[in-house]
Amino acid sequence: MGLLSGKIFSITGIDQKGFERLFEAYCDELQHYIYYRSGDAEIAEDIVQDTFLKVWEIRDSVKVDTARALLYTIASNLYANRFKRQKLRFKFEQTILEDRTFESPEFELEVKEFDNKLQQVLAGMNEKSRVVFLMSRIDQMTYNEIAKRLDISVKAVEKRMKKALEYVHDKIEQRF
Amino acid sequence: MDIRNENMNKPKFSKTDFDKLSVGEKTNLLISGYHVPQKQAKATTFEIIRQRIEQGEQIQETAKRHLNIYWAAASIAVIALAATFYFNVIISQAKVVFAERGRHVEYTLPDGSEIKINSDSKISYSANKFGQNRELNLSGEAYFSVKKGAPFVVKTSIGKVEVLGTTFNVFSREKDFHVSCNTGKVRVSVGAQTVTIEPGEKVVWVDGVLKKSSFTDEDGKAGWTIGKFRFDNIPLISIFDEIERQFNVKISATGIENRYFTGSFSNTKLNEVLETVCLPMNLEYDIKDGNKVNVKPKDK
Repeated sequence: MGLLSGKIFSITGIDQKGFERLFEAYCDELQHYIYYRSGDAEIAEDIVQDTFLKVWEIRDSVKVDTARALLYTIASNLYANRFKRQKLRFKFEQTILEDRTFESPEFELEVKEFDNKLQQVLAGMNEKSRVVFLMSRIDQMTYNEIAKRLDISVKAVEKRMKKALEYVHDKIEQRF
Repeated sequence: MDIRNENMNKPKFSKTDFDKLSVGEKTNLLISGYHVPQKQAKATTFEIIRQRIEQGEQIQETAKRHLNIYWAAASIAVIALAATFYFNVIISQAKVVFAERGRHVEYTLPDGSEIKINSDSKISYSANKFGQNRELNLSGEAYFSVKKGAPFVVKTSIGKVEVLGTTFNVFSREKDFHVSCNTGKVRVSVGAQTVTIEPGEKVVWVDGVLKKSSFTDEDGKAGWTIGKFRFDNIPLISIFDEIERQFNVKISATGIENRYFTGSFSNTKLNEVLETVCLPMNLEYDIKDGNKVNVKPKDK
């Protein structure tokens, strides 16, 4: 599981090595998290940079066993304070279809169109539901893990997930 | 490999199979192939963070002049929530990119313009203002390839360089300031003096005057960007300064005052470079601990 979990004692303060390990372990999921919220890879990377910089500044008071949650808190605050809500446009790279040959060019176009619509639907979804939905589907996190990351209850995760699924279903059905 | 063969090994994806799937299943299938786009490699991100730490950059609260009460209350709540760790709720949009001694850094600005930053040099700009106002600060040396568009301004401690879209090199260290133009047109100003240079021309700040002259550069761009250093009658002391920056070494030299060097070297090996410079100047050198260099006149 978490690289830093499993310690018996709660340690306060991280050193350079610990900082590097923190980065190595959580840089990607943090970037994903802000991407799910912003739909902008550059913003996501800027926030990741600033988040880790901030953690470095306050390294002496960072508790090892809550460091991961702290990263999410800082990233979330940075994002919320800095960026006004704007119209999102996702540009997920689609890889699954590269391993297949399409029956026909028309069919390939149809799938790509479905994919485009899906990305638009995701962009239109309520932010809280979207974050939970994508953490579960793309990062394969369990509801339990998501709840911990976002500091919400498992019940809340389930609720948001249900909303997300309904939304996707509704919107896609309307379009196809 | 033949493309058709490769395709034959891949499973066929048919419309009938796809149509059999429910909306939820189609969604799952497509989402399972999603990758979050990344603009840069993880190692690069870490490198930037490391540099920003080295720079002593701090994430601080600078904005928020127009807080309304609601937001003030909200941020107090946030601060209270995370008080142990987290006092400043933040907005620093200052970007600093630094090439330390012994390194060059390549960097792309938000407008797509590219910069090569020479050793021991730094650029900084405001990320939130750069969109409206292409302006940055430079200390040290950098080579710019500017995307066409609104005026692009480089400010240094001595002067200002303005262009529309072009490639040019700026060197600004202590009292030395020179700019060379490779393509397009570059306007250089110090105080009230302004000089415009075109490709193949350079301008040097000497004794309080901007002097224009021509330069030749075989490669069509600043040599240092490809690891070649050419010097045309430059004080020897400046040459050793450059070697210190390129190799991150400390050089103490005697007998080099008021002497000038013309020649070139590439930044591959320290001892070769020292050889290239010392031999014609009748100097000798020794290297201690890998990073301390002593240079003195050759014993007669």
